[in-house]
Amino acid sequence: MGVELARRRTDCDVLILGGGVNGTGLARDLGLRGIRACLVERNDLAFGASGNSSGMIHGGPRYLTSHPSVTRASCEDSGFVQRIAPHMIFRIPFLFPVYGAGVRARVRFEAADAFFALYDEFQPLKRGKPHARLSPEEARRLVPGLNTERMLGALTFDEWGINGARLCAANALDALEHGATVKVHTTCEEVLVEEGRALGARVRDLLTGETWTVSARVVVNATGAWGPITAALAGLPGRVKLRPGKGVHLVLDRAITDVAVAAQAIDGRQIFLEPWGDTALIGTTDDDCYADLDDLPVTADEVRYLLEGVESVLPRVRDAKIIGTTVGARPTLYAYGRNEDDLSREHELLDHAADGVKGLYSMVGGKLASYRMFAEEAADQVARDLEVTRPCSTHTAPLPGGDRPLDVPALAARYGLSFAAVRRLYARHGSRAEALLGEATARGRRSVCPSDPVLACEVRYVIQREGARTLQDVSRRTGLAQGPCGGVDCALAAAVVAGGELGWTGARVRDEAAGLLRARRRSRLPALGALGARGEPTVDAALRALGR
Amino acid sequence: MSAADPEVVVLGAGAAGVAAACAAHEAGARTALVGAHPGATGLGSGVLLGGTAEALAVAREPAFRAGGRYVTVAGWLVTDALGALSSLLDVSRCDGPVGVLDLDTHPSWSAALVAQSLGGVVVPASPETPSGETFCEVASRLDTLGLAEGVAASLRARCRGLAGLLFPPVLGLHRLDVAATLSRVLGLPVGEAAGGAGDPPGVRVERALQARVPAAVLRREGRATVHPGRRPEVRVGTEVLRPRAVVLATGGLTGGGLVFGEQLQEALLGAPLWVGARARVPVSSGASRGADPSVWFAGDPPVIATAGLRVDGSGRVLDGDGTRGLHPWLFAAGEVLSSVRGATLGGALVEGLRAGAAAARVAREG
Repeated sequence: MGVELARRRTDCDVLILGGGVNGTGLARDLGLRGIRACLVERNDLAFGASGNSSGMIHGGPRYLTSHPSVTRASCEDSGFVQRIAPHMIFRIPFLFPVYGAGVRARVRFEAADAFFALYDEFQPLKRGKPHARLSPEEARRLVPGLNTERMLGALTFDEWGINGARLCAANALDALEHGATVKVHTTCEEVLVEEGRALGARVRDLLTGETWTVSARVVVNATGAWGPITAALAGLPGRVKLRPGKGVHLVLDRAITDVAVAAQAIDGRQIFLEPWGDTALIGTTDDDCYADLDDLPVTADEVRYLLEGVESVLPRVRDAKIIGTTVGARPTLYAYGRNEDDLSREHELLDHAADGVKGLYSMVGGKLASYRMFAEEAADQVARDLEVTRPCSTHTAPLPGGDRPLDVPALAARYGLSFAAVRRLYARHGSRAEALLGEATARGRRSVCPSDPVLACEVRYVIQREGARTLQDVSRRTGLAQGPCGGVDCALAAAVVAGGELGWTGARVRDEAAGLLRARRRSRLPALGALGARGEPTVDAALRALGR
Repeated sequence: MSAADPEVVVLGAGAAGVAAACAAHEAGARTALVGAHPGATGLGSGVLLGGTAEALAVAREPAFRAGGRYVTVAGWLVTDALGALSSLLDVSRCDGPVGVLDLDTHPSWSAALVAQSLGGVVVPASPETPSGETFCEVASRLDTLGLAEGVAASLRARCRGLAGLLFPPVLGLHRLDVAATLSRVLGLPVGEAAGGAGDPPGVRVERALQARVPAAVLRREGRATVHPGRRPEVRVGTEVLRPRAVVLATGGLTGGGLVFGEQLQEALLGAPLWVGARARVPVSSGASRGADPSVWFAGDPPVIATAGLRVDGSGRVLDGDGTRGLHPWLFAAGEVLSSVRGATLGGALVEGLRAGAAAARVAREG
């Protein structure tokens, strides 16, 4: 079969459908093995679960007692990601307070202590610190304002954070630099199958309406929660089964604490608040989700659920303003009769030869933390099919920008920029930030936003190099308009810069700017209290000035 | 009666409030104008949209001019303008190619993009032209006495053959005569593009309107409360005013004029809110405690942009049936009113004039 495959002339070796972390991770892995991949994504890179998760490269403690081997592998992989993308990753210590009185609560506390002691065994694999047991007073010193009433004590454990959208962009960029093509806003309309073999797909550019055919030796469905739909486009309805779980996070206007704090929601589920740069995230909900995946709603009730849960542990969370929400659908594996939290976050590579279509695979399930491992598994299989013997190197080869650290203060001084602006640029682009700044003009190094530094040259860079095609693509890659200003200060300026790069007309520039302002508003709406609503007239004024 | 005992009290000192105070004063009523904080008026682009020429009675020269065709920073050609700040370049008066100045300032200014929309030509800036990271920064430099003359002289050679020169919205932060100075020295129409929220033209609109308030109008700053009755009582701080008529010009509901409580209502007087033709307003159901503001921002245009008080032809606030006045002494104008597409600056001026005059009539006739 392999010989026959190798002989056919095709547009690419492997057509990957989906630009989440699985798809981009696979494209990179294949690229490093010298296999030509073509990736098409219906929306944007990291549009779904990958860009809307809690952003953790954790060690999988939830599998510690049931499948310790999964925890070991997760911790090892977390260590690998630190090695290949040190600029992107940041430590998130967790505080896990235990409340209650009486014997039962004390037993729970001791059990949790023993649990994290067990997790400590794996921590060195990911440079994690061992857990600590704190008295309520110590916990309160660590997190001022923590509710210590009826608290028995608290435990700490160590995890690592990462920006999921940047992780996808970095993988895509590396794939591009290793011969892949990556196209966003391009959807698969049909997987072409002939005589029981997948030959490629008919795709449509959703921005231009153009359609064409991409031929490939192997087709991989990496469309996450969209997976069942994609399988149906290959004539295999029902062969990919998922129970997508909607996950919502709130974004607060300030970090609130230095460490993440775990809390229990009203239904007993574990939720948390985690510092995230200048902001904080509160997550996560998990509910069965059958809504339109391209346009998932967030409800005011979901906001209340998360806020109430964290408030019980940290009342001063109410002082913060919610500046946005994120929402994504987890591609959790299908199971009947279990509640959402018990569904497996594990992954599975389906070979649809079993369904009568050779050369078609579906990457089902998975999570951000173990993306590299899953991509390696899938790439191993594809490489076997294509008789490529070069082994995986994604665990040792640095991602773009991950090769060396930068002297951020020196760089900031050289170009007269603020430390914050360059530090953020480094976190997003690693060592590439140096060339990015060096190749820009003085005007290009100016920020498009006075409140949150995003430089004009970065807007251009993510269009030229990372495949951004709309202003919202730029926002996803740079954090543009995701701060408290919600785009009022920067949407037009960024649209003008992006328009210069992409040849937009004045009308298109205004549409893109208005589109970003509306998208940011939509993300705030479910959380908009009476006080928050008072800021909205500035958004109205900005839209009015755009004539939209 | 003392000066502190006005016949008409106008609440809100934005465009609608200023117009109402002017009209009430001109109709002979002793008038007080109470402002709490800046609102949507100063967030405008400098172009007056909506309304009629009647509004220009308030927006009188030299700060404003009637009609015209303007271009915004984003390259939008505004043709249905009632008027604009006179510092804005009226491109309909330019008989020939318009130059767009490639000024080194905020990245939202792209001379190439604006020139493309306008069919103009890009004019490189001279070394004498001040640059800056924001429009406000450049505008404040151009306020410097004598600077505009030098800038104009330095641009003379570059503007040969042009019928007009367009700047980004930077022609003065405090001074209103920068555009006129440039124009005089250069000998051709010079003006700026309309800005966005928070840009200098909006700041100057606010300033020009405030300057129009007659000195005899009593000014008060602070949040007011109103106690209705046969004769209303308005409290500002410790002061109590007992006017014969009140004009509500408190601005858009989202600016703080709306109570997101169990019952949705206008904050000062609890007046009924209308959305379009109905006095019923959407509230979210389910577990939400109180009203859910997100519902108000849904739709296009958002419900919030069209919701507000309803008035009769004279500007008197109507009750929930829409048949009678809520109070004989209560008038309203501006963004606090319900409208089809959201308020505009020109509309606010017209409504303000109408409500102010009607309030003065009621106050006089008792």
